[in-house]
Amino acid sequence: MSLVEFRDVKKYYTMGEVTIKAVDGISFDIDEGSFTVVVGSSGAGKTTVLNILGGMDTCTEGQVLVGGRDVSSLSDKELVMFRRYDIGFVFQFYNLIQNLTAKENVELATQICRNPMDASEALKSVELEDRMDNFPSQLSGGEQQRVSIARALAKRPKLLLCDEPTGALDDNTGRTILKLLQRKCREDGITVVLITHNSAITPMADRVIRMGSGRIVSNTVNENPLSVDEIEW
Amino acid sequence: MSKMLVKNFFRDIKKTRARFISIMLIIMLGVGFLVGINSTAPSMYAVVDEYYKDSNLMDFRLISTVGFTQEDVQALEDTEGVEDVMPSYFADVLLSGESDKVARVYAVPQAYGDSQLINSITVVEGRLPEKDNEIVVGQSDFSDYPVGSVVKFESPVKDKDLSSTFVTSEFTVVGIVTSPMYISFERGVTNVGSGKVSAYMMIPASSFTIERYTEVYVTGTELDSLAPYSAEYENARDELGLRLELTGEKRKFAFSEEEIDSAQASIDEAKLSFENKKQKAEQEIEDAQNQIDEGRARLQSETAKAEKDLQDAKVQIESGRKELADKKSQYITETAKAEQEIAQGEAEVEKAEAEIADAKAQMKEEIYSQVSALGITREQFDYIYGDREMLSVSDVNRLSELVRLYKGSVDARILGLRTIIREIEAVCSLSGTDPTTVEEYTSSVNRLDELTAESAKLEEFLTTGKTELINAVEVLIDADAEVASSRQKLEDAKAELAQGKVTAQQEFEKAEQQLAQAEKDYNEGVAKLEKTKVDTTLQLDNAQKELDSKKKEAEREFSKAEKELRKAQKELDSLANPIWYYNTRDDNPGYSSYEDNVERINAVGKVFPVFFMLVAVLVCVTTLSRLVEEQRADIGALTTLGYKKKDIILKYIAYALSATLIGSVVGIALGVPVIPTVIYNAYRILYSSLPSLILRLNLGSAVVAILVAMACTSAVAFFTCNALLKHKPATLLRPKAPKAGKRIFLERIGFVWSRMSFFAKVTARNIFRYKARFFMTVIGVAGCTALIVSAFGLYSSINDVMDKQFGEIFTYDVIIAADDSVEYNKELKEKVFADSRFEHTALCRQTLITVKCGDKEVSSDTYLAVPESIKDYTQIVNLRDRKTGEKANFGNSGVVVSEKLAKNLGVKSGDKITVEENGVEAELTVSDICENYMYGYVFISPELYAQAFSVQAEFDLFMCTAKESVPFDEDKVGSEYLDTEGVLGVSFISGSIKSFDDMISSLNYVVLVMIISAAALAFVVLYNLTNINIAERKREISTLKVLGFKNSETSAYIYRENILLTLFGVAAGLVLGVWLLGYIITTVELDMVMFGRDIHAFTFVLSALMTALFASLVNVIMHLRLKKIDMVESLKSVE
Repeated sequence: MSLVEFRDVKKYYTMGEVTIKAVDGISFDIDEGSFTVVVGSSGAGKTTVLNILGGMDTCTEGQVLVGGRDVSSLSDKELVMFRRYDIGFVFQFYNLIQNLTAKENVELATQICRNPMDASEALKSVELEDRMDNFPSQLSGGEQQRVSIARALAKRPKLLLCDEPTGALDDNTGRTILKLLQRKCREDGITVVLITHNSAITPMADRVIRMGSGRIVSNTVNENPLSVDEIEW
Repeated sequence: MSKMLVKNFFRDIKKTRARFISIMLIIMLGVGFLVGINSTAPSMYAVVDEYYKDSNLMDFRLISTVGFTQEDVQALEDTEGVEDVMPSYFADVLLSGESDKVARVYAVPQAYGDSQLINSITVVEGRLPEKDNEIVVGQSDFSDYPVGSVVKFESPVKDKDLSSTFVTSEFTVVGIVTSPMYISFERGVTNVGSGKVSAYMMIPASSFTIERYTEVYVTGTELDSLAPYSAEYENARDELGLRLELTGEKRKFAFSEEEIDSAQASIDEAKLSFENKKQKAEQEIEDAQNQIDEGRARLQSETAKAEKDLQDAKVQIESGRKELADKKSQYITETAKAEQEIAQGEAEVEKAEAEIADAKAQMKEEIYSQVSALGITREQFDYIYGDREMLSVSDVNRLSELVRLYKGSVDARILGLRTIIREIEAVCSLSGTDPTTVEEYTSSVNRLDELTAESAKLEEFLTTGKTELINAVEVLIDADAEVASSRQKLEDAKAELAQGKVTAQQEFEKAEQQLAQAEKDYNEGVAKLEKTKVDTTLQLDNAQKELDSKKKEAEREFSKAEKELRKAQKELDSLANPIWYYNTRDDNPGYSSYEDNVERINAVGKVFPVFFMLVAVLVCVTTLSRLVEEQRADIGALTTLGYKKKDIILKYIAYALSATLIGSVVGIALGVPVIPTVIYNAYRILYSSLPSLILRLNLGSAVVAILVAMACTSAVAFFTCNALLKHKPATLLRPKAPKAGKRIFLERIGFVWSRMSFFAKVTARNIFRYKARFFMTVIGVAGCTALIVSAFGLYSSINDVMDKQFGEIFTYDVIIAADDSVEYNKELKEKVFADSRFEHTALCRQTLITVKCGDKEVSSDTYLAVPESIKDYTQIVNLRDRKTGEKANFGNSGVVVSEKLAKNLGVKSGDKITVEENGVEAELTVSDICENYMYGYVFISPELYAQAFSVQAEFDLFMCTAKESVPFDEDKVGSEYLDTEGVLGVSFISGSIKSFDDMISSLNYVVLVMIISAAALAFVVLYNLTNINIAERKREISTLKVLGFKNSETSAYIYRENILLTLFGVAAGLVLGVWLLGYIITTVELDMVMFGRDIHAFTFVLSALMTALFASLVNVIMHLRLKKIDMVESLKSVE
């Protein structure tokens, strides 16, 4: 059963006389509990897809269904609620509030949720229970990203969206993060959508969607996803 | 700078236009406001400078109590430094049918000789008068006399017509004019009618019938070129004034020699004769008084003597009574004794009489028995005895005669018998019978014996018996006589006693009568004395009364005469010492107040905008430094590309300078015309005669403001840029390490922190994290709040002056000034004090003084107030401590000094001050300081005054409060008192309040300008700060949005900080505002005005509310901005 359905989604930006087709009619499904990687080079429109999927942006045309709900027809206010209850977001640059401790950053999310995880528990699940009271500046990049993941997970989202989560990290740390995400997907059945320009990590995904110039180049299901440790890049 | 750099520069401006415009706007406001306010005074001075010059406003207006002659005018013209002279006329008259409204009528200015026209007037409507019965009126709100209407004048002096002043008293209005002498609505004061001038009017000089000129206008040669109100002008004017006074002295001397001396002589004579008359009358009164006193003394001594006599008489009467009583009692005893004796004597006499009677009866019987034996029959005996009790000797003799006769008869019979016997014998002898036997013989012998015995017996009786009887009779007679004499004696004694009784009774009666008489006399004497006393006293009293009334009348007459003399002397004095008044422009109504007003604005301009600009520059500086920090990556890129440090720095300096310069220029371009115009137009409500504003840029302040603004902003650009450029380009290219999160102090206070909600904690952390922003916001908001506080505070402080000065401290409604000490005008005093329209009345004296303490000296607008009665005075003048409201310690121990004066002198209670009044100095101790807002006062008790100045205070000023229950008709009271003899002037507090209120209302515009400017600044500052805040936290905000924060929640997240910072800023601003207000007030305050020191709650509330309002407004605008923030921002890499 697919959690996410994109039906001929288009996103155009009009800048003066020029119309930029960021996303130009794409359709795909994502199964619940699967790990999907959207891969493409810069400007391929993957971030737009992520934005539309995450309720941060709306599509110009087409339909986006998340859990059977038509996200594309939601009002701004409904989108906020959608983001709040259904989406967890992991940023490339973590986007932690510098002035809040790890735990508080997680709490920032849990404060507005209906049935959140306990912040400490969330941090524990990313193995950061010892660094709960540290400020982001006192944490390494990987640790910060883990806080970011904990913050996203704490909301118990339907969908965990990750925007180049390893982009700002070295390989080893990146691996740890990917492992964590994979584990969450496999163990806790969280649907993960990860966008990256790095094709090397595609083998770990259940589904790989390749994009180029706003269109889907390929949409393949990986029958045997590898664990992160098995991937070389 | 390379072309690209220039391009980059413009791009930057475009990119950061919000910030650029913010800086520009803030600088615009700051510089514009500062230069605008500071240009106001020069502009306002420029207006009058030009106006005065154009109209050739006089420098001096000379008035003489005796008028001026041609010679006087000539002498003035010849005085060194005099440019033009213009002799003219003026008179104060009542406007007919306008209930005591006073108009000052001038002659239309006319050039004199070679002199230029002075005080040239401007015809606003109509034309100048051409005929003698035409008039022009001064422009004002007093619009009762439009062109074409008729003005009728009345003499201000009762029962006097105006023919000695004008050719006619009815004029037709032909025009409306303005005169440079009257720039404001103020028309000055007068000593006739209601006491204030309501309008000025002008008629042709030929309409005046006054002999001498009443005024002479003078302008100075050098004064022309000097700016009015300037110190140079005042110095030069004073110098000319001295020269004019010299001329005046000479002319006055001449006048005095010509006219005065004879008049003085006649007054002196009148005075002398008055003194003589007075002395004589006083002597007479004294004599009469002496007489009365003597009479009283005499009455007393006589009364005393009479009383003593009466007392003696009374004593005598008393003793007489006693004596009489004694005598009576003695008499009674004596009489009783005599009566007893008499009774005894009577008993004795009666006994003796009884004895004698017995003896007589016995003797009668004896005698009878004797004589009966002798033959005297009872009848004979009784016959002889008669009814007598006893026989006298002659009776015995008669008896013995009878006996004799009887004897004779017996003898005869014997003889016969003898014969018979003899015969018988003879017969018998013859017969020899024994005779004896013859019966006849025996019988006869018997008979004869018997008869012989009888005769013998008779004989015996006749010899001895008779004698014996006689003796016995004689003895009895003697005894009888003795008894009779005893009886007689007794009777005599009785008679005597009876007589004595009568006499005594008579004597007693007489004595009693005498005593009664004496008593009557005494009582009469007492009554008489009493009557005399009463009568005489009454007489004396009447005399005294008569004398007293005579005295009073005399005194009244004297005081009247004295008053007349004084008046005459004063009149003469005013002539004799003709006074020349050298009025300067300062005496023109409105002239000085204009300067005061301008100076007040000037003072405002010295503080308020400076602080204003300070805030503006501060905010700009922070904004700029932020901006440069944000441009870190660009700077990094530029350095990497090999641009010179200098050029890069220059770029940012250029950015700062262009924003500042444009802001400054726009600010000046807007502020200089707008602010002076707004303020000037506000003041033109007061100074309606003035032409429109001549803008004068205060170049100094403009240059300083621009330089300071540019220096500050470019310095900041330089220093921040320079600091950045010290880093290696690589470092710059890397995003600046985000500021590390830190635990804040509050977290250590566990019990507070743990009770705070999550967002409260976040907010608290954020606030304290960004210290720069914290201080920037707090200081910015505080500055604006402080400005608003001080603007509102200034407003209420100024308004307080009137409310407090004339609402709480000086509570009188009317002041009546007497022309002399009321000692000489008791009627006036009685009248005022008895006036039922007044609730309280106090009599006092108020004189201008110079007060010194150490090397400090205050002499202008400083008064010495001496109340006649402290009790009356303090009912009207509330001397109290400003802070505690306690009554000031006003008594004989020292003087009470008004607060501002005390501050200027630097004295406190217990200190000593030197007060100089009319050249007399006195050292006084300050006993207390009292609240007061206008002018300086030294309050002194009359006793202390007398002691300190060695002279009794002469009171001439009445302060009265109107009864609240009765409507108070000021015009009526005013005209009534001005008509009263001896009243110099009447003024009403409402007038003072009105003129001050008018002045205040203009200042309120200034305050309004301040408030609006401060508010604008507050808005811009808050906007700018929030803008920076949002710009710096875009990423955070978009992350929150991605996390699913609603717009409202996102805004709340940011606003919590903003609101808190604003609150901090407002709180700090209120504190700062108090300080700033204090500073502004002391700077703006004129010397002798103290603005209110209370900061009303509404000032704080309003200021806080206004700031809050702007903050909310900014927040609303920012909410829209926040809404627009794209969540995609969160995905961007950290720049």
